[in-house]
Amino acid sequence: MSRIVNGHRLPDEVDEGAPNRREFLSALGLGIASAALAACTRAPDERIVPYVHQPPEVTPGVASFYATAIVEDGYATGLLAESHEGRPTKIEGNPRHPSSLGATSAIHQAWVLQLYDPNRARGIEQSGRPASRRALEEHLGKQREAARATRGRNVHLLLSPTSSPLMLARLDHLRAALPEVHVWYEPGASPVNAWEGARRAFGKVLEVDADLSKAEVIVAIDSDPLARGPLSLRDARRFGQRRRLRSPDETPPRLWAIEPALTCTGIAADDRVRLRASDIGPFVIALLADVLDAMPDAKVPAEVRSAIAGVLRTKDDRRARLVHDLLAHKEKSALIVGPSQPPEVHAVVHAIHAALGAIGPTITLRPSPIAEAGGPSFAHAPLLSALDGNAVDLLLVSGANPAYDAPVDEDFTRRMRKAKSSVVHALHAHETAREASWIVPARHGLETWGDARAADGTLGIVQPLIAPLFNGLSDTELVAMLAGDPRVEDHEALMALHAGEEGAWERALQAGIMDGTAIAPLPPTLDGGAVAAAMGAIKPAPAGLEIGFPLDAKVHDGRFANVAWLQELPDPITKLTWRNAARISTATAKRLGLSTNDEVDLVLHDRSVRSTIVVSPGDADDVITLSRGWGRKGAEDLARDRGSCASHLRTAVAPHYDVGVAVRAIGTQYRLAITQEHVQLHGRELIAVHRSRAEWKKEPDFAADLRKPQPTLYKLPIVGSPLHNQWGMVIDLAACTGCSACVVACQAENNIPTVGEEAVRERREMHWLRIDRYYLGDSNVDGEPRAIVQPMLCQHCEKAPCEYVCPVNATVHSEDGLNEQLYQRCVGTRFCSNNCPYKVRRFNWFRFHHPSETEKMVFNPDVTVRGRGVMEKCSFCVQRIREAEISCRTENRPYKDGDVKTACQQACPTGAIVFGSIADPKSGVSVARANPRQYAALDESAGTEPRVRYLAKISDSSEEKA
Amino acid sequence: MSATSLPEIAHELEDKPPVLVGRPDDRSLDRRVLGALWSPSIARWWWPLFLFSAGGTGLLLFLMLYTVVTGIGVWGNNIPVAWGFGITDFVFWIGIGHAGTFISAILYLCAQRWRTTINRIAETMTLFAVVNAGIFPLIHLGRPWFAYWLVPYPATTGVWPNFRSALPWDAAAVSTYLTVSVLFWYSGLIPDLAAMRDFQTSRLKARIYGLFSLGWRGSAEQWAQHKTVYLILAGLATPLVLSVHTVVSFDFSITQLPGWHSALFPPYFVAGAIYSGFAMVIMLLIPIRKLYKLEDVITEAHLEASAKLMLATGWIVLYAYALDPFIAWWSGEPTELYLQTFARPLGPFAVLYWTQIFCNCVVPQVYWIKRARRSHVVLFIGSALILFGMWLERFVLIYTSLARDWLPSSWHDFTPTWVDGGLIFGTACFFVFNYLLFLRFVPFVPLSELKEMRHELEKEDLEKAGEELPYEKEARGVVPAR
Repeated sequence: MSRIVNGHRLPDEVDEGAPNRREFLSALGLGIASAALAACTRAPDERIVPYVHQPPEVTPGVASFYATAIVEDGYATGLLAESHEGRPTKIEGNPRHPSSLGATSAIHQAWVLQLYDPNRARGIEQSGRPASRRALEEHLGKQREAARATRGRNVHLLLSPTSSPLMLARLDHLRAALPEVHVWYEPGASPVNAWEGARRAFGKVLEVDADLSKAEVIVAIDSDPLARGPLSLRDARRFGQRRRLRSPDETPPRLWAIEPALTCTGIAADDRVRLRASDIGPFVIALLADVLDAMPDAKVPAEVRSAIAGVLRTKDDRRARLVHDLLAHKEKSALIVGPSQPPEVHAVVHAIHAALGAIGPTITLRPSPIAEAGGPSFAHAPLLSALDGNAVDLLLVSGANPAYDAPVDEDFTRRMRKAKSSVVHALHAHETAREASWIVPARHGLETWGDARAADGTLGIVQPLIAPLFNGLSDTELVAMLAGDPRVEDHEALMALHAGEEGAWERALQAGIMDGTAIAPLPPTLDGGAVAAAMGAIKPAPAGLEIGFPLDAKVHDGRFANVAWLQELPDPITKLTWRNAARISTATAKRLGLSTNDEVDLVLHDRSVRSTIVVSPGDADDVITLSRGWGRKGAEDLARDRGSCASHLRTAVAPHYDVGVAVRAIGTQYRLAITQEHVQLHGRELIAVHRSRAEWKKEPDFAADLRKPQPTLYKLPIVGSPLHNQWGMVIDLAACTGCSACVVACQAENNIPTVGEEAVRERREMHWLRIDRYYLGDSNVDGEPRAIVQPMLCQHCEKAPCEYVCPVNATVHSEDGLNEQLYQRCVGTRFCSNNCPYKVRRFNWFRFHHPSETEKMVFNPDVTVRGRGVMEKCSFCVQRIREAEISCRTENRPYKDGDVKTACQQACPTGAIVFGSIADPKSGVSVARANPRQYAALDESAGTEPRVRYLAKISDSSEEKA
Repeated sequence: MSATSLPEIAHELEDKPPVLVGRPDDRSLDRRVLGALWSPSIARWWWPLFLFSAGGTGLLLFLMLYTVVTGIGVWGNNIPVAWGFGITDFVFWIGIGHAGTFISAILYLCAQRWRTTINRIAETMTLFAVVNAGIFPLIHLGRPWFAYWLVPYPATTGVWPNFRSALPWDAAAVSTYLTVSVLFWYSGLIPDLAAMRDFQTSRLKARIYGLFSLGWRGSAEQWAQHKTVYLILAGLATPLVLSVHTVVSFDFSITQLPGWHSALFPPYFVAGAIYSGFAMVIMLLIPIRKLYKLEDVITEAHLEASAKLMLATGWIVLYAYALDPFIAWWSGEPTELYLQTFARPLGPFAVLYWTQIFCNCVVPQVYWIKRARRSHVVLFIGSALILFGMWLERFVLIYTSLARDWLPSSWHDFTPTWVDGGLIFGTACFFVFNYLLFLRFVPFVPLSELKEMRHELEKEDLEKAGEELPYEKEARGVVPAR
């Protein structure tokens, strides 16, 4: 995109005291932003400061983009942050970063709002009283000097997992001062089981990297590789590329999902096996046994082959079909096991890969970029026993919230109080911070200098976009402070670490990555004995109700729980907002006599948690799923007391799932705020069209009737005026997984307000783009429903029903085919919404925007902030279109395809959304419209001639062939 | 019935209640009709009702203010149900307004004698109903302070209303209707205001009534002009009876929403409007004639004629209801089929729908029976049910079509808030409030027309008896000229 002006290095820090240029800029940004925003309604009260000395890289009104990265559990995803006059407003993916390829997740999109969270911790506190940075430094210095006597044995650090060379250098420095200091890494959200599985199978800790661009059979085993995990954006992109079929003769990879609860990957899957998480192990060893039986010459250690004799194999048609698929493609198979499954299952799957010969061609194994991955430091237990032994003089927690998230039987909160001094470094005064003697506010990632590795090891620099809003410290600074390192400032230290040859630093900042830093794959050898032992360790699980505790799709482990955009984002599967709920399958709900909104007590090992039932068709029977990250009790206003805390049921031995839970209905109801109450198509299959590949073959042009122009007495108002681009969009339902990144991207780009739980319950949510999810099948959604997701946004109808009913001409058609909404003309009759067949128009029932001083800074200055009483809807990101047109004019060049990307398109991991001019026959969108799967939703009934077209979903179930 | 002989049928036809019982002379009519207004005997029921309705009117004003200041979100509306109680109330009140003009204009042109006594009661009902109706389109706007943008005025922006939309026409139709109704009502009132002026003993009251009677002296020339004006206004008002609700029905029928998109709506809406209007007329006539002891003036004939009209318009409405599923089947459109053949009669809205059918289609059938047509209790309860049913009809039409439209993903139900309920209650009180003031200060039985009718009746009586008519006697000098 032309408007990306990448690579302006932020200026070096100048001497402390006087505001440096960055601080000045951000203050200025705030002033201008508040003034501009206030001007929308009434005259500004604030005094504003004119741009007397304009910094050279800042042009008012023109956004700059800086490469940076978000680090989640140590893994980096490269991002580009959009900055308007010194304030970051929007996140995009960094196309050059291997973990992003230009895409982002919903969480990445919402990350920028977390920066401006008014609930963030605002200053250092000692026992609830404000303290100075100097006091903290003195305290840590005292602790350090006191600990020197014991070589730091009684100093414990619990850190977020890290891949940062800077952090490791800082820790080395600390160890130089205190050689026996204990450094623990928070295991809660890390793939410790996967590491351990690899260690068992290969004798060393390795991470699996499946190449979905080559795999012909992809098996997601209790995992969600297309939406979750450090490589999910890349994997989704590769998968999406192979799903965008042009003819029935192309062969897409077949995707299997074996899972206890429906995931985004499960939605995209051709075949699903619904299993309790505890039944997956036995399924997987039977799978290995079947594969080995069918491949007598497979190169596997003898111990493994002999171990299959003891494998219990019940007859299972689905497994037979899966084995058939695997054997048909052998080395082009990729089995991806989720972090919840025990190490044994990971080990067995490594053996399956080895048997199929997939290691090398499709599966790459390389050492983890995470420091001490798979090591003993990823555990709470030693720290807890040290606490119990009163052997902790200083506990420093950074980037972790064990008081909330640790398994309940670890009783972290109580034990933590035994530390003589505790320092908690966090973005918020969360549960752990509240127990600490010192709270140190953390810097948000967009305020921090740092470095981090992608999942494949590629190193990138984290650039700050703004001076710290609330005087935070970075984790590396804090460690340096404890170590007594005089070079506390990260920027200097980072430069020293990565300077290299002339210009390398600048190049790294511009690109966001340092080339050639990926970790080389290792050719491993399978340890037969260990795999055989693992096989033996997998026992059939007892029958009964299982409860699973996955990380939440929106708030992860709770760290994003105070971000309104994520709170209000409908869960990709249940469409639930503002809390979690106990998911159960339709059959299980029927068996237990429960339905959505019923309040229940979930009882496990004599511990009980109150939650609300949400029936989720497609989940495995006898499985309850209660995602983590909810039921928070910290200082975060939005997060507090929303939903139920899964960690009150999790135990250290079974932190991911457990069998034997009891459900007790308590007879009351809680009305959940679910954005889609009706999940079936009611005989309207032509809304979200789905065909099997066999059906497509039989009828290659099945969609012809659904896209042909409807008979009319009138000429279409605008068709292909040669003077203009004619904007159009195509969304490929075969590639869409429903991950919802586009929903938040749209919200961030277009200043869409959040409305709160009560208003969502009344269906007054404001999302311009929503993702409809339907369960297909004629009778009901009891059995094996197939889900289809359909992003629904303004269809920019050429014959728009909204336009002719507006009494004041507030919604009109543009010459380039946009259905435009004029906020300043709208009087709010809502007639347009009534006549919109797609119900994509959103009304400001109240004044929904109540931003705090900081939250105002997130607004996109290119988009009006709407007031009360007006209608709004998707504009096809008209601000981006006009900006591109203006740059074409000023640069005196014709528009070329791809100059404009809508926010949803840019965020989409699978590339399911294509946007461009349909007047240009060579544009991507025209090519997509020529696809035989292309159809117009509802056009046949409503005659709307929409500019948004869909490509019918094609699935290729193994059942079909059999 | 099989053995009914022709004479019996003739008797049936003859068995009509009189439109005026007895032949009270002018003076007694003056005393009873004009004297009723300021009679101290009505205070017993008038004041309590007045204070109660004034309270309700206060609530209405508060809720209007609350809605405008806070935002339309205080109502239960949502997406997809963007129109809820507000527009239902609007169509309901506009519909009620129709019977008044129907009685005063169309029946006037058709020279229906029974309209005479009750036309002002009905016309006044029209005025206050239209005033109530006008409240809703205004306050249901997101930004009511820009409501004037719906009016075609030469704005400096050069932007006109969108004439393809039904709403500017709606605004025009309703305001035209209100204007013509006020003129028609007032021009009919002038001679009676003058009579009121002449009837007063207090100088102040006489002055005030004198002011409003615009110098009416009752000269032959004034009468001639008055008659002409009245006839012209009746001619103007007549097409409005049809056009206003036709235009209101366009608010729905021009859309493509299944359940709204129907060419049937204009006649169906007009019939429904007259239907509900007559129900309201009956509900007003019964207490008024009782409380003012005007049973001889407002007679069984008026009630029975109204009941018959309800029966007729009720059948038109029933026919329209029956056509809905047929048209859905004819269209073959799954969305419409689902709505008309499942969601409304059998699905989530069955209770609403069948209550509507009971009130609007079953209840009026009782008016086939003569005794029911003449029973005040049956008439009153029946009318109340029909009024409720007609409100429900509009609600079912507006709500259910929106709540079960094209994409099942957006389906959502509607739950009214206390503000929604308060606004209906408030407008009902406002209506009663206005009506009580009218009964207190304005001659609600058109005295001059009543006297004229009485003279005509007398003439007919004499003709029937073969006697000489008074003016013939006068001409022969048998009696002195009056």
